[in-house]
Amino acid sequence: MRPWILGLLLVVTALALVNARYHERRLFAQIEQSDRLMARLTSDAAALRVQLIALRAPSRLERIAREQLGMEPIRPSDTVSLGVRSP
Amino acid sequence: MTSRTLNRSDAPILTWRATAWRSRVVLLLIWAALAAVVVKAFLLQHIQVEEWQRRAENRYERLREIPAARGRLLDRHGTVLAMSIPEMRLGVVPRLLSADHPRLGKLAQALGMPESVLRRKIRQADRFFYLAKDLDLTAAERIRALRLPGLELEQDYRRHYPLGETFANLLGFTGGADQGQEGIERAFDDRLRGMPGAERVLVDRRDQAISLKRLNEARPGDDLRLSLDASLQSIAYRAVKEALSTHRAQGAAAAVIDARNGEVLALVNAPSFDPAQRSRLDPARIRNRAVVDRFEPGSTLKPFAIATALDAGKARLGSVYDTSSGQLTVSGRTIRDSHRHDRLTLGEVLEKSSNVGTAQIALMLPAQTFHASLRLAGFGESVGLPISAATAGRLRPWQTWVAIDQATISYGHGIAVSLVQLARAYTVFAGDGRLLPLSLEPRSTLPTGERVFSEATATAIRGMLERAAGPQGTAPKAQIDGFRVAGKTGTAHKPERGGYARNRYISSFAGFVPADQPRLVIAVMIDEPSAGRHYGGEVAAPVFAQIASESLRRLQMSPDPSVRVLPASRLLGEGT
Repeated sequence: MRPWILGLLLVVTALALVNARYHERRLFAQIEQSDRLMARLTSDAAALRVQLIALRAPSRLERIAREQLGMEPIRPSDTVSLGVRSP
Repeated sequence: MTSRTLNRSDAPILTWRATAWRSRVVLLLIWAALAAVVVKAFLLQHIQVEEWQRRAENRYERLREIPAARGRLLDRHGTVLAMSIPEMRLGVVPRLLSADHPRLGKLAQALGMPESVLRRKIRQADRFFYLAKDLDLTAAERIRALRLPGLELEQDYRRHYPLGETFANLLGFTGGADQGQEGIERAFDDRLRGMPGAERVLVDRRDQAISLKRLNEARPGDDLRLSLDASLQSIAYRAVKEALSTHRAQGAAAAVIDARNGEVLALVNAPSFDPAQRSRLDPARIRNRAVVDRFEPGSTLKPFAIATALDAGKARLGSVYDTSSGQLTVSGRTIRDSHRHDRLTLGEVLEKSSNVGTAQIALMLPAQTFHASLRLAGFGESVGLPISAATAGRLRPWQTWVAIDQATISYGHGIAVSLVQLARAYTVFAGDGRLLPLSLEPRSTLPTGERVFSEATATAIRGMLERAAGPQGTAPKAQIDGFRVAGKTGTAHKPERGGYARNRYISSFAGFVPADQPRLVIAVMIDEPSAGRHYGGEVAAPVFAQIASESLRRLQMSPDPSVRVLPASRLLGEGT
């Protein structure tokens, strides 16, 4: 094989290597970015879950039911037992 | 124009011998230099490769810790009680960040602080400092995008307690490095804490990561499912908080235990604190009174004296005691009843809460027998919950007792217990006479428990406790519609410098519902009620009734419509 062909191949592979390195770094940066986005979304979801739990805390629901909706707990005197007739 | 022909032999380069020698030397030097490069390259790439790689990596490598999330705390139904959310800390190296940097205005905006304050902070600092903590990741990303020199963002975790003060005293909180400092957070710290990982990051000259290698994966802490029920905890907390306010008390606490297996379902304290505002914590509010405080239980201890006498054969159900004088003198000291009674049967002694009758019964017992019985019921020893600073109470050795000690201990003076200890002791009467061990985690199997009293005795005492919480007893206000209630009130003077305070009381109530098929053991303690009423039947029993009624409804237990709250024949103040 002629030396100039070998030289050309050498140059081409060297450029390909540089290009591959460049893409590797680009992909790595994208992965880092995606990781950060995932962490951010996970964190946001967790924060929202905490808010949801606080909003549906039994004490809060009970207070709203009593004060805003005028509801009261069921007392045994409020219940009526119905006999079930067999078919 | 003249021309001159040069003779070839005249050219100096052809005749100067030194020239040929010099060029050879230069050539040799070039070859030598090339050879040196080749040799050095060979050495670098094949012989000293690790050394040079290490040096290069040291220059461009950062070792980064990967923080591990702490495990979540869950209630028995999976409701999240505590969880960690990743947040960022922003540090500043003042040497690298000028206080006059033009983009500081945007940083101040992102942090929500005045620009002048930010610039002053940077100007005045001479070493690394944290500018902000608890930054959410979105804000952190905005700050990162500013590309300011000298800013360092570190990931951290912040613990959140969505149900706030309802669980605060019990769960405790974490401190620096996400380490449990109080309560359950501290007790189960080993299980909840994660194992941080590590990674090696290669950075370019702009300090941007270009590759990384995970050395150790971060291992998050284990989630911990507790036996607690968030709904019951909420009910109990509301009840004690209202009682605290109504009776202008120093403190209040309640414990709710599953009578079938000893699982702790709720453990509440008031006053409590907001775990999100930990910077202004009052130590008195952090204390888990139900576990840490000990108090004289008063008449709630009477069933144990009577049960011991029944088991020891020193008393029978039909035994009658003359308490008509309303007082009894023992070792030169006089024991009194708050109300005068006539002759009382064994059951009536408990129902009317007669100090004189109970002391008479206790004095028939050998001290060793009575002491052993109290010890078996768990008094004077650790309650077995892994909460730091939990008190074992106080039960003096029987060898140090004199007659008056035995008499006063029978009605709950001269002995100290914690509220949770008292609740556990009542599992003896709620069950078949065995003491159930407590647990903060759900149990898969039913514990056997250690026998304290015979089954017959436990059944008899259960009946007496039901009457004590009835219209003829000391706690008619413990009754609830739809369910039979059993329990005993207690009122004790608070100890004070070798004696007892005249007008400072601890009011308590311990009992279980439904009395015919116990599901919940509930103990309530109100510390120093000062709104005019102090008897356990007036102060603590209604709190018990509120917790019991709402909890049974929440547990969807079917009420018996025939069971109605009956009016009290007359309100008795049990012995103090």
